[in-house]
Amino acid sequence: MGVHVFGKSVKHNSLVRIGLAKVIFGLGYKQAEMLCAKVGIYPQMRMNQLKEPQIMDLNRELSQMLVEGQLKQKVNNDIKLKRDIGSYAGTRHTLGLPVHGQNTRNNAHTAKKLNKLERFRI
Amino acid sequence: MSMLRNLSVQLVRSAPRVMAVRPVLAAPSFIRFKSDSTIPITTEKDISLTAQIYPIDKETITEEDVDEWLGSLKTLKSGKSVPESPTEAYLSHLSNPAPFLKEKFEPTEEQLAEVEAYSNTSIPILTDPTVENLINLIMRHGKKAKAQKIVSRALYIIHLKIRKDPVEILKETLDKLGPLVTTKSFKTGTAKSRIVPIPLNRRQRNRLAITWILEGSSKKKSNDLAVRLAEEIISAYEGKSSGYDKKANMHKTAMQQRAYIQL
Amino acid sequence: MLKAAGGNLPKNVTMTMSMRSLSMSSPTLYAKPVGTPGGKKKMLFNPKTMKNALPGQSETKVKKAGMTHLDFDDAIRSMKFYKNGTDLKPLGLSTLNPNNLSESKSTVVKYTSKCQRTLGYLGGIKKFQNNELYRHPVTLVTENTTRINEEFISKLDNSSSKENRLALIGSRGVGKSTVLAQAHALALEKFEKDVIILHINLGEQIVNGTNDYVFNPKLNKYHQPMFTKRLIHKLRLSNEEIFRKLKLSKDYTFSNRRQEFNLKKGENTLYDFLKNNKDFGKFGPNDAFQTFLEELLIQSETVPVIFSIDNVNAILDFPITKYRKPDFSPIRIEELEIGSFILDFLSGEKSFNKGGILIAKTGIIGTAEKTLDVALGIEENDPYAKSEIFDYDICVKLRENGGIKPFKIENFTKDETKQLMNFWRIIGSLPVKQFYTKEVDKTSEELSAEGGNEQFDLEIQFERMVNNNYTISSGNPHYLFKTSMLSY
Repeated sequence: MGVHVFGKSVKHNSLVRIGLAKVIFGLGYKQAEMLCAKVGIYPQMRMNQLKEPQIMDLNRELSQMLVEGQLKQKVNNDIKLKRDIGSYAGTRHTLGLPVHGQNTRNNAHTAKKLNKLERFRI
Repeated sequence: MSMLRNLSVQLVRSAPRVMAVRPVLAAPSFIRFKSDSTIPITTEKDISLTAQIYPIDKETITEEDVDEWLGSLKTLKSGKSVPESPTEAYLSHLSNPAPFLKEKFEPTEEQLAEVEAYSNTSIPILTDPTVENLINLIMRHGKKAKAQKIVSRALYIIHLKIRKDPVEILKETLDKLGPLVTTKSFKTGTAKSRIVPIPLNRRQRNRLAITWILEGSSKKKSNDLAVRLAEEIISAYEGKSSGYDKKANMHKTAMQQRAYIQL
Repeated sequence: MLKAAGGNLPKNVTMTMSMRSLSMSSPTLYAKPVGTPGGKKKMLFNPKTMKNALPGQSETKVKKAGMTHLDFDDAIRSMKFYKNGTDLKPLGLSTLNPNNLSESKSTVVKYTSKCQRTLGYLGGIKKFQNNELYRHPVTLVTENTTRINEEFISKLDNSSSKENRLALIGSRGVGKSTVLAQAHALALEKFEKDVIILHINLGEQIVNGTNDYVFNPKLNKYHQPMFTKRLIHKLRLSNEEIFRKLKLSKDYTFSNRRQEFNLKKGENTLYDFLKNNKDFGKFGPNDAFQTFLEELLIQSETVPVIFSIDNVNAILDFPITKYRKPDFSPIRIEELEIGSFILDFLSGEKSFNKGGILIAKTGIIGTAEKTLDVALGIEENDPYAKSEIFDYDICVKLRENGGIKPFKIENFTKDETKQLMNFWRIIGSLPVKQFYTKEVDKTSEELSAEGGNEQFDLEIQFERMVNNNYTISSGNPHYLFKTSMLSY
């Protein structure tokens, strides 16, 4: 069961402001509230109460924001730029090691997981 | 620092000492620690004994004072029973204060009647022991108030459903549900162990019945233990609880082992 | 189906045919590989077999029995326990009436059936008032009832609502909502239904963001269509008799689902207007509610109007609502259509010619906020108070035109406590029995063998219970109930 907004399926009985923030990459709780206020969705509205024009409005607003694919692309590009100019941060990214001077004797698992040239596969 | 101290000393010295005018010493009969007798104190100003013997208006304690003290101490030590001078009286009181501190209580007639009225009655306890038992079996981690709330709410729902005194319903249910005998296995030393039926007392019966009710209540739908407990007690009261099967099984095994009953 | 089959696998892993045959969860397990002899067999999706095939879901869910899935508070309200209640007919309870208040003082009375229905529509008989204990709602006539009758009901037909404004205050559970319901009932009885009651039973519903909102540029206010529609529906049902009598003072034309309505002055009634006008719930600018208010103001020349709000501090103490404008700045209560209507009448800016205004606080929310208390003159104004707990504009507005008079609800007296407990005893809800002693935990046979209980006077025990519970609760009805019924 889900309501489809911006190509994503959102749980049908969640509040709009919370469901959107949970599902859409780059949209936090505050941003989701602002989005709802802009479109005219009341705070306690649930996903299954949304009407077709309201979903269209949400999609239109979301498409103008830097979320999902565009945001992921931007992050990838930023990392790539760092690599291309030959900066230290860029090399650390390619090596899969922490960027901000953390120790690497132990731990550094987050860096190993995330730090690649292409962080998000689009 | 030293300057400050000097200054304060000077200040103290320069100030005239407040001289309290003390009355002349009264007769020894007046000097008492505590008067519990009926004789009222005649003087209006109640001055402590120490103040009378060592008044503040004395600038210093002279040699004569010390001599008097030591002299009276000596006379008392030598075995003088009735003190004469005030110092002697003071010292004798210090050494033997018991007769002045002893209190005597005599109840009035009303108080006696009140005691008489309660003589034949038993002392009430706060809650019903059966309910208390249920509360204590529900309680986890010493949170008694929480358990009390659960039981109170459950009993309220029972009352709403059946419209009788819920405590009576609870007692009746436990009476119906509680098993009469249990079985215990004893080691005989050989390969076989002996299973012996043992009668249960009231408290043991209640405990088993309550545990079965609590087990049954965990199978109900509601998230609230109060509601689940109420539902289970109501169904047990109507004779539908799963605890009755357990009771029957228990009785059955006891019947099979009846040859081993030890009397 | 695809999701069910490969939901656990990462997306980038492509399933080869050989992997698929190994998978326990894959639906292809049931189908023969393509190309094998035996002809094609159509594979059907069967959720039951699928479920069993999935690992971890093979065990069937335990079906749980029981009366309800609700928790205690909701269960006692929704399970219709009042049907099991003792029949109150043989008790011969008198009805709540302004004419016989002095005779029925500190006794339990009932509402008339019409009155009860109206209160039901208005939401006057609230949840958590423990009415599940009785076959039908009953109420205790207290000192507060006589006071509200003198100070409010008697003034209804000879003063404007501007001069007749009361705020019911008091600690939690003291009976503010009950007195409000009693006031409604007294007014209905006094004027024999010739009184209009506008009642908002839950103030927080206006501000907590549970209703939709839409901007009306003409009024410069926000409509709340869902809320207004429900409110009008409630008012129409509860005031049906009087609304059917009142003829319209103007001609009104509106359309409703492609049907034109032309309501004539002096011919059609206010009920027709409310029944046929669907603009109240329209998601868009309209003037239906304003029209209704104007009509009411005109009608209040002849009929007294009671405007009452329960849980009013949820509105007045929290003037910044949960709603937001498109630029994300919060909407204040004055900017809502309903909110401004409430404030206009509470401040006396607008006034019904005949009638009164009755507001009641709730003790559960807004204990720290001071706006209403300062406006009523209960608390001193603190010039350094933070804006979260004190709102200057609202306070000033409430103090206009002489301000609202506070009406303190008092606790039960000891006599009233005794009467109520006696009523509980009569209907069998309050068992009066011997106190427990250490010896009492015996079977009836054991007791009879000993020669029965010692002499015991139930009346003395009841008196003792009254004293005890009155001391514990200090006469507060909520705590009196708790200590009598909910503590074993």
